Amino acid sequence: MKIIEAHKSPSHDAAHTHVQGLSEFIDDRPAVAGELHVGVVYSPHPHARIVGIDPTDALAIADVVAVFTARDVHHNLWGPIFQDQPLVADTVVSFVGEVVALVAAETREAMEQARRAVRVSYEVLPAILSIPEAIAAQSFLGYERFIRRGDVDAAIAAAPHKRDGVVYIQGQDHFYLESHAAIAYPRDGGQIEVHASSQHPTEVQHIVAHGLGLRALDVVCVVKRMGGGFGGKESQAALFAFYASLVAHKLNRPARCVITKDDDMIMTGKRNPFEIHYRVGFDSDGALCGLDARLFSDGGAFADLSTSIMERAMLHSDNAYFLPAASIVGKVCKTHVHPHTAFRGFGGPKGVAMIEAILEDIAHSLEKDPLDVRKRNVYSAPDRNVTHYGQPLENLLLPELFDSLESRCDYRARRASVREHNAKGTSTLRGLSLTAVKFGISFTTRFLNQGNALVNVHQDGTVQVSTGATEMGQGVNTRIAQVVAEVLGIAHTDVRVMTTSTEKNHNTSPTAASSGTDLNAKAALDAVTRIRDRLSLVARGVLALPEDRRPSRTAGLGTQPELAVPEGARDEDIIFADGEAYDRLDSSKRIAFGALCREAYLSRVQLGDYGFFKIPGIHFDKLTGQGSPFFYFTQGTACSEIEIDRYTGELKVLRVDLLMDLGRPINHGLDVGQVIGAFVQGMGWCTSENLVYDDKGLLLSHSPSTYKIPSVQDTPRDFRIELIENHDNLQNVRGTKAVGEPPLLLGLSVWTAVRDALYALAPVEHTLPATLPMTLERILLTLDALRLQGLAR
Amino acid sequence: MRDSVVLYINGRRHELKGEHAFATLSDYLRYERRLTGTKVVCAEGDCGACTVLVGRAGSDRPWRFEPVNACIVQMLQLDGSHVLTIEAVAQPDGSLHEVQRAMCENHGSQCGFCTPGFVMAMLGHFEHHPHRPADRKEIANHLTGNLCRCTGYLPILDAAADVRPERLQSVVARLHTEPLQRALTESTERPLSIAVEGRGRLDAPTTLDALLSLRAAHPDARITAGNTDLGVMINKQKLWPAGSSRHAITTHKVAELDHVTVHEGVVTVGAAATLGALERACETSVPELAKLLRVFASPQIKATATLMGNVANGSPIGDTLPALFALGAEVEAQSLRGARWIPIDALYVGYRALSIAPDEVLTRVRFSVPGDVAVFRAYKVCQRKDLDISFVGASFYLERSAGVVTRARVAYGGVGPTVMRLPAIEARLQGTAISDTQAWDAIADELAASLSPRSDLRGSLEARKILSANLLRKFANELRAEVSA
Ligand SMILES: Cc1cc2nc3c(=O)[nH]c(=O)nc-3n(C[C@H](O)[C@H](O)[C@H](O)COP(=O)(O)OP(=O)(O)OC[C@H]3O[C@@H](n4cnc5c(N)ncnc54)[C@H](O)[C@@H]3O)c2cc1C
Ligand code: FES
Ligand code: FES
Repeated sequence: MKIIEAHKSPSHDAAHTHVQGLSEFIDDRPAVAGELHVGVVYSPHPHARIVGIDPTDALAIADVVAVFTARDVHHNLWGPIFQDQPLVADTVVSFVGEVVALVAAETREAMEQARRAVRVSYEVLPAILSIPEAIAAQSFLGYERFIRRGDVDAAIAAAPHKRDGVVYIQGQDHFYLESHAAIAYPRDGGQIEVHASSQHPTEVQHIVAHGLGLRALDVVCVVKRMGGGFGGKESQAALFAFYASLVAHKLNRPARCVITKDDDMIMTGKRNPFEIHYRVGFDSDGALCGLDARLFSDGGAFADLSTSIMERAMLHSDNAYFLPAASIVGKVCKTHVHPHTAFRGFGGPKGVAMIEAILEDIAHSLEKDPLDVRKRNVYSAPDRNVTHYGQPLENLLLPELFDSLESRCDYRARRASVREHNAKGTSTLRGLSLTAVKFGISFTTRFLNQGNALVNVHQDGTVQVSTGATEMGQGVNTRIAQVVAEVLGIAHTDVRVMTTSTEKNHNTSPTAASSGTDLNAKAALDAVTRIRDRLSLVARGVLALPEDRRPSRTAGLGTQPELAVPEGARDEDIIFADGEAYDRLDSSKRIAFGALCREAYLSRVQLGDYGFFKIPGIHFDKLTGQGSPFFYFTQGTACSEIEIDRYTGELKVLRVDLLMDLGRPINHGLDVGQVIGAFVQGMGWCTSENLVYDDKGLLLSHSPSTYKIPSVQDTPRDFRIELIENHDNLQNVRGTKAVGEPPLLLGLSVWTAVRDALYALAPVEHTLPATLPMTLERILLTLDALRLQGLAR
Repeated sequence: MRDSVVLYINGRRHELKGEHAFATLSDYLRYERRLTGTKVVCAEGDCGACTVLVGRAGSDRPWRFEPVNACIVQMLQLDGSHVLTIEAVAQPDGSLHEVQRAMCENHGSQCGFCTPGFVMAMLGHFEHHPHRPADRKEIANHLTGNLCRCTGYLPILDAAADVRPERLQSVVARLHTEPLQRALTESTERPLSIAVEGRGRLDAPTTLDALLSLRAAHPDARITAGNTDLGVMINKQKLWPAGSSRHAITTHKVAELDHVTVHEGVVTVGAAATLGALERACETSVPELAKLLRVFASPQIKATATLMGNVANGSPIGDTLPALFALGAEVEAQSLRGARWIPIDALYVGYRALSIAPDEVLTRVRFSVPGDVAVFRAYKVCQRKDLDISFVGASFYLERSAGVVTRARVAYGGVGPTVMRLPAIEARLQGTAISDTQAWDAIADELAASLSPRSDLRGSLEARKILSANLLRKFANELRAEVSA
């Protein structure tokens, strides 16, 4: 496989202002006169009846203006899939952190005081706080979903070896640095302009309108940027935008709702915890014969996106491996914790964690190198390349990605030295693991796979583009600018992607599912291509005229006939490059792009356009669990080597090698940045990020002092990232592949490497519990159990 | 007496009177000065998004600019300081500083929310080391106080490595001029006292006598040193919640308390001395303590936090305490009535309860540098190696002769309501041969059995017991390895 040479690529379009602290985030907006601070009052109970809300003490505080409750909400149910969640709890609270009242005050200090002074009385009700409790109570969200291939019972019964087990997977907090925040400005005649830190401005617009009894035309949602999103601002940002809007609407004053990190973590949902019960049959090579898996997720108190997340988990239960027979069943549990939500990878990482753990266990039980077991099972042409839901895999690179990384990272020699190290019985244990990812790109809900874009070319040849994509650091705007600039042959710095607003782009999809560039750059491409075509005709016409008869000299007087530019036509001989347009056949005929735009304007040629794109050819029947939901797959492999201190359970990631197929990246630097960031985030989920709740459903680890995302010292000491050359992903925009989520799943190689290390101490018949994350404490307890059971070899 | 806090921000003088003096730096910058480049994420010193550089003089050192968390530092503590924020970093002509250029070009910034903090922390490093390229390990150590959720850090480390010394411009040199420093020093020589109806009172005495008098007159006032413990409590509404009144007395201007000395084998640390200063001072004399301090909090915290704050805070997971117990440290308490030295293991009488009188102030800590026959080892285990609170901490001090332990001090944190010595274990170790693996193993099991830790969100009691025993095993293993080497 050929590797793309690392090269300099344009910086993030906001890097220049980011490094100077000049990029504006929500709470950086200057307070305008009369602006109010909005504070939330939330439930301390996981499940309770609201007996009464008494705002008297709060209203008595100087500078407190108002207290609002559910009674002030027009239409009080929302939800991205099912409308089941109150914007403000009405009669019952269903999780710790559910909002029961809002306070509005002139100062932050008074707001903080008032939040604590609103007296809410509750009658506590029994609560369901875990997946087993929910299963016992038959408390579920949505209906049971399944994906089936063949007769799995027969396949497992006939298999030479069988195993069963449970995989326990904890949630993960998004820990975007900018917590939820919104500011709403009342506009003429009851309109609302709300600035939100949201991945989904259209949904904010709709929810604010419904909640206030307005129509879509009354509400504009503006998203300049987010200080990180990772899925956590896909659905849940709407709540906070609504709270600001409610106050702004009721009091006709600007209102700012900025949530602290502690409250953000207590109130908002996370990556869904999963519990997966499986049975698997395999042969003596470790080849899978059949997999029967029942996936349960903790959806929290309301549906949010959990059913779609479950679907993606089921669709990724194969990961890179062919399942000859499978039954994958998914159920979302309804509990009394914050409604869990999208998180980079959606359900994918959970399905993948399961299958990777199973393969690791199988390898141990057969005394095989786990890599051999994985390679034995990897999808391959010609007859092991259709997924369990029936989608054929085109452009399948997985076998090669395995082989190539195996040799590039010197896997076999390192396996030998890891074995040797562990046999020496020093104070450390090492583990090595090479895993893969095959991530399906597209929203599995077909109608979301559409995007629109507005492209405005100005008379000086600079371009403003607006799309529904929201910028959260991933660089979608930079990529869109590059794609547009490329078509017009101008510098990417001559194109600016503007603030996202529902006023300019309507009915947009969330910037999620790694689709931001795919959908929006393609829509922008649609628009700019038409503009380029028109400009090619203008160029042809103008270049044919002597200077003094061009529109720029004559249009004011009207002495010349106007250039004719028929719609839909293009002059293919006009080339746009290096800021100029020229005739391919006579390159002395050339005009600067800016000058051309001016001529076009004077010739009354449309310089702006509107583009639309929908992903073709995808379909998935959710009721039968069959179809081809994905436009294509992003694929990759990773090899992680770790070291554990046998005394303390402390973990070090010694070396990571990543090999990814991202098609032809638009921006190599940004893509590599996504790969590194996602990997480290995935690694955090697998290791140090531990959500701890008390027995009342309150999240105890609700700030960085107790919730530990990776720090700079946790970055793998030796970290090598390579992208392979792949020019075959022709269906997608510029032959690129989506990158946002897939590398997160490769973080699982750290988890399996930890298990690999621990397996070095366990005899062949012993199976390690499959629990994620492997925190220091879990590693320590596992080491101790192996020691006490005399299992250490 | 002065009635305003005086400081400079980005080369300009600020005088805060009344109400304004009660703010945190980040609120003052963001909401009163519209310097919104300084971000707030956690308001508890744990993420570094609010990092600024603070320059100040110490009694025993020249002006030093160090990264500080603006979210937990109070304006009161900045009296006499010069604060540099992200807004001051680019050149006056608008061109980027070398650190900023490197961050841009190496994709060191994605969403940008952590970025100003990283730039400031990195700038802090290069202001001290302008003449050489950054060493990767050193820069990583310097950035442990900054979290980034987007980049995975590698691009940030690449950016640091790409900073070219020859292109570095000193922001400090540009903005911190001689006349400015003189004016600032002169205007903050006198003690400060601000009282505001409904808000409370702030005092910054400049002599120990004045401090002791204030303490005697106001036993309910809170002494603040680095404010890293107190600031978090204030921000989380656990101390002086919104709408309440406060009285804080800061020690940072008491020159007599701002020193670290190593003299005739005794280390003495004044109550106003920062952990950063202690770490530098111990580098050669007690390297094991310096090593422990390397994984203590972050550079930002250590730039203001004091050893005395850690001692006075009395947390069972205070990281320096097991080490001070094992070193046999003593703590001095002073009042107008006089001074006394308290052995540190007699200082704590219960969970965060100290055996000092309401009119006493803790003034100094002292301990002997371990001698040649002694071994001193301090362990801190936490979920994340850096910038994390201990799960269990353990320190061991041994004297030995001919391969046999002749004297032992063993102290553990995180396994009870206070940090504690384990006399029974110390007695068992005495006379034990270092090479006697079985004996150590048995003592480790006894140690675990003797403890009754609690489960909390940092870990279960089972894990704490296992870890406690294992730390003794680890120590023994390391000792043996040293002997055989
Ligand atoms: C992000 C972060 C990370 C941290 N990491 C660690 C860590 O790794 N390990 C650890 O042990 N701690 C840690 N801490 C806690 C804290 O930094 C330390 O306890 C520090 O030493 C406190 O010093 P200070 O000067 O800031 O104390 P302050 O906050 O100013 O005061 C702490 C307490 O001591 C009292 N006090 C201070 N000086 C005196 C005096 N002279 N006489 C009497 N009472 C006095 C105060 O009234 C207060 O009760 C961390 C804190 C934060 C915010
Ligand atoms: S805001 Fe997190 S350290 Fe200050
Ligand atoms: S760039 Fe987003 S947190 Fe660092």
